[in-house]
Amino acid sequence: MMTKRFAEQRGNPELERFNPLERIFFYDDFNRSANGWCELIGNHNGDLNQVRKAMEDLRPPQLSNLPFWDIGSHGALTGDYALKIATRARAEHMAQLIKRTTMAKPGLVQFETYFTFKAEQRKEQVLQAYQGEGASSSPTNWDGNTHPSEADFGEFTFSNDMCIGSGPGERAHCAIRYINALPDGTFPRQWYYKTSVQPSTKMVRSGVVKDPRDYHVIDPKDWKPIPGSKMDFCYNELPTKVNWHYLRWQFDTSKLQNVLLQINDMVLDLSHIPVPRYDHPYLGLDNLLNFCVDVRTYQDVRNFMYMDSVVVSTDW
Amino acid sequence: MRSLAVSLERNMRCVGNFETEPYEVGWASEARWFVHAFEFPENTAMELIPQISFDGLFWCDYIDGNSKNVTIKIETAGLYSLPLALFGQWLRLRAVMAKSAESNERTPGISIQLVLKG
Repeated sequence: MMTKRFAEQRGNPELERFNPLERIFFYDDFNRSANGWCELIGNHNGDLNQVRKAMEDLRPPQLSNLPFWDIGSHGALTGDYALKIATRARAEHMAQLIKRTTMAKPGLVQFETYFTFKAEQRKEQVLQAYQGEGASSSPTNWDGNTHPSEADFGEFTFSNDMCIGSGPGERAHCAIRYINALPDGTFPRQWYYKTSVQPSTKMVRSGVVKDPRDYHVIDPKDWKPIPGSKMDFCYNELPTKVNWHYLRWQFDTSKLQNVLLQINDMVLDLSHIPVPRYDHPYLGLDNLLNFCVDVRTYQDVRNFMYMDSVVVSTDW
Repeated sequence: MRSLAVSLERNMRCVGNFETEPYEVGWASEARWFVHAFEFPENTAMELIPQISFDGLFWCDYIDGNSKNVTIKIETAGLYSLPLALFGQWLRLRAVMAKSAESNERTPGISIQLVLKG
């Protein structure tokens, strides 16, 4: 059934490619700015030495027209610029951006984006090309279709931070992760949900948990595959060719639950996926609603995540 | 007008020569580096050289409109700044530590920030 809002946006090429709920909460066109997506930093008391290792170096946003060494600027899906998140060239480094809001009312929230991801091309591969040796002398068996850089991209995660109501309300994070390639060269190419809470600064400082190796969970093994979620993305053969993918993720802040995940033609029911909740209260987070996107590399190669645009809508 | 203020190195201890992470600035028409040397031992020094790139892989030193190299030289704690124009697609800083830093038990502590407008 076509909603009133959907009917109104017909003919608006900016929003035509999205399927928002009744009320658009915000629309982020990264041609204009970073739109409030900023670097996440861990809590501190003014002394930066107090920031936990897992949250001390999550890298700033970049506005990118996706420039590559072979063709120059690739450009975004619309206009020139996309929001870029870049890791360091260090295995297990993660970069994360966050957008912070509060809820006017608990209920259904939908996050939509057109995004893409790539590993940085290894410089030695480019040097071979410049020196005229070409891919034929590459140590990998390049078949002209699949590219060795596919194994250099690790994972990305979309997540939130929700705290219901005023006072010390109930708090939880939904997180959905796509793992592309593991350090051993295997390709899970599947979506995962987490089974433990995100260790907070409060938990680490009180000694309940250690500062985690994986920012999202207490133990790096605390992830389970989402049933039926194995999928390949259109990598398109080279680290310098970019195709944009559609993602739609719904969650319900009144229930602290996932609802569904759509990536292009794949739609997954997430309503049965458990979301771990904190068993202790947090003050000063009344009606908290944060949106996060992160990317993590498993190799000593920079991993990049790009979002062309974002629409978040609600049933408020 | 767009603007972004970003922290590229925060609370960093300098133990040798290094380059900052590549940062995309193709949209910006002006840039200004800020380097906050919050702790800087006596009898040491470092020089920060702005670099530019077409692709984020290959880099050369930035030359200003008068065909001159510009750098930030640090010998004492404090806040240092350097404006840049006509820089193209990518920016980073190349840091060269003075030899005296190698023998110093205390390492310089710095933060590196970049402000962009365009």
